[in-house]
Amino acid sequence: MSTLHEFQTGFVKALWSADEVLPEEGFAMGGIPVAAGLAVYRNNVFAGLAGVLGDLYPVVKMLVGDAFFAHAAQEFVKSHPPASPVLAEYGGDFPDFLAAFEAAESVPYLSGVAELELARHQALSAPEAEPLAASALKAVPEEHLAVLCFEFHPSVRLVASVFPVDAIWAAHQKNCEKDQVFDVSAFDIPDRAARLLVARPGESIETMELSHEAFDFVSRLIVGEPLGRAFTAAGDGWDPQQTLADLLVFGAFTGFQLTEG
Amino acid sequence: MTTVGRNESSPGRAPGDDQLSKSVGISLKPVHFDAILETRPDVGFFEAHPENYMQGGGPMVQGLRDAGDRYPLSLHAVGLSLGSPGPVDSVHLGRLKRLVEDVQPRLVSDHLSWSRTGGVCLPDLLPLPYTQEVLGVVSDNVSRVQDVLGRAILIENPSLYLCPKVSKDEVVAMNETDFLAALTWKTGCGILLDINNVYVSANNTGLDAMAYLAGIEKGSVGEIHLAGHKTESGPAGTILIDDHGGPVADDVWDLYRLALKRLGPVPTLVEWDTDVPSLGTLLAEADKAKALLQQVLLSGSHEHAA
Repeated sequence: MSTLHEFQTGFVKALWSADEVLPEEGFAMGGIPVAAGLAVYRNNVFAGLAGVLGDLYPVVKMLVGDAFFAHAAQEFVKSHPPASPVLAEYGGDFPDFLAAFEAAESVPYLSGVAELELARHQALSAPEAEPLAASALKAVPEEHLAVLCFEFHPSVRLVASVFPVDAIWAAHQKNCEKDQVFDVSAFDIPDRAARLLVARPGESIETMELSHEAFDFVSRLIVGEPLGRAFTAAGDGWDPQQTLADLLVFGAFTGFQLTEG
Repeated sequence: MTTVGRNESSPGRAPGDDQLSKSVGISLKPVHFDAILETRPDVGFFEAHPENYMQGGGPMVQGLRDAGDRYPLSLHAVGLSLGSPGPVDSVHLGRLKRLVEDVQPRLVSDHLSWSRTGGVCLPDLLPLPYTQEVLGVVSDNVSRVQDVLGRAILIENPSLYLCPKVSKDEVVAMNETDFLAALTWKTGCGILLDINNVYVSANNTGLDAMAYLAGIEKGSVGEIHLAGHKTESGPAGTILIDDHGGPVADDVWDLYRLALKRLGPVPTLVEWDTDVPSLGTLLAEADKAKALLQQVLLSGSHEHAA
């Protein structure tokens, strides 16, 4: 093992834990104290990552306030060091973390709002792709429709929550200034679940509300199940043709393949 | 393995871009995208961190392409972790290569630092002990990047808050400028001389900034960076933090004058990354650099490279 590797392992260990120190003899004298230098690097890393989370989850931040968010971010960063130098990809586990974060128990919709913010963030920077023309299915013989598998637009994300996270998010957009704490109770938020398809088929991010059955149907299509099987599994009592037509007009697909029946 | 070697670039010339040599650029910030397209400011080049544009699509990538259609670009990486032992992360390097092919920057650079160890990528530029072992590690990584990209890159001196002295048994034998000189000689890379980092590091690690500048090899610098820093005074003394969050300090302008006098005209970037001001404020800061660069060009007073 190289001495450089040992130095770096020791440095990161010290950087990651507030209780650790670096050996004085390992650094040149004549400048600021070793502990003070380490504190700068530590702050760069932790404050930097907390800033990334704050930019990605602004509505969550305003729902709980800056101090609570800073605490949650600090705890998340400690247990989730970044694995990529692309910081736009950091923080994807934050919604799951919030769902299990005891201190946030009194805000049960928090992780759902975070999931919606993550979906919007990912949709915004997904590669561009030309949506499938709404008329494209007309050329497919009816007997082949059952084995048709859709290719989804790369920006498509599905978000489901037992809370009306889309309504909470929308109320925030309309009513809140940046950096102002957002009090949900001040708004008339309907008591319902949210099942959403979020995507950027054109220039802007768009959201499509789905019924329970339609959400199940799209969830199956998105993992590659053929149309016939997804139809059957989604059960009765809804209008799959209309959902399919809506998805086509929305621009959720970029293509399709006919698989072996 | 082919390497972009010293002998392939003209003697006494940094692997930079001659057409940019008299120009001053600014950081490309998404908040300025619209203003740039609407006002088409007189800017020599725009510089961006490629790590912010690697996700494949969306308004960020479009903004970079729009700027690239109208201005020369420089891609200034922060994530290659050239000071980590073992080969550079091939996934990250592949993404950088695709972006370089997409937007065709005039300059590509990263730092003399490390950020990755044991699968963790820290969002900071961490200090290296300047040992022979580390010179080997960084040289191999720089050569690998240059091979994959098919071009020479520039390596920036980091802002230091600690100066690692010893790597276990091996006592550090080189100072940073010697290390950079050896690196350019071994790999054919150029130096991105960050004057603010020289000033910040000198304060924080007890070095002499003027001696540092005098130690930079003429003809090896392909770009200069200028930026603001903040000053924190406390029981630990005065710590300068390289936050790129304000105007360039007077002392740093003085060092820039000295550097230009010694090095001749070098493409110069004014960075501003936190508390980003209006485009106009950033342009005004760039104009100060432009005036100094013009003075050097007109007087011809710089000491000519050997």
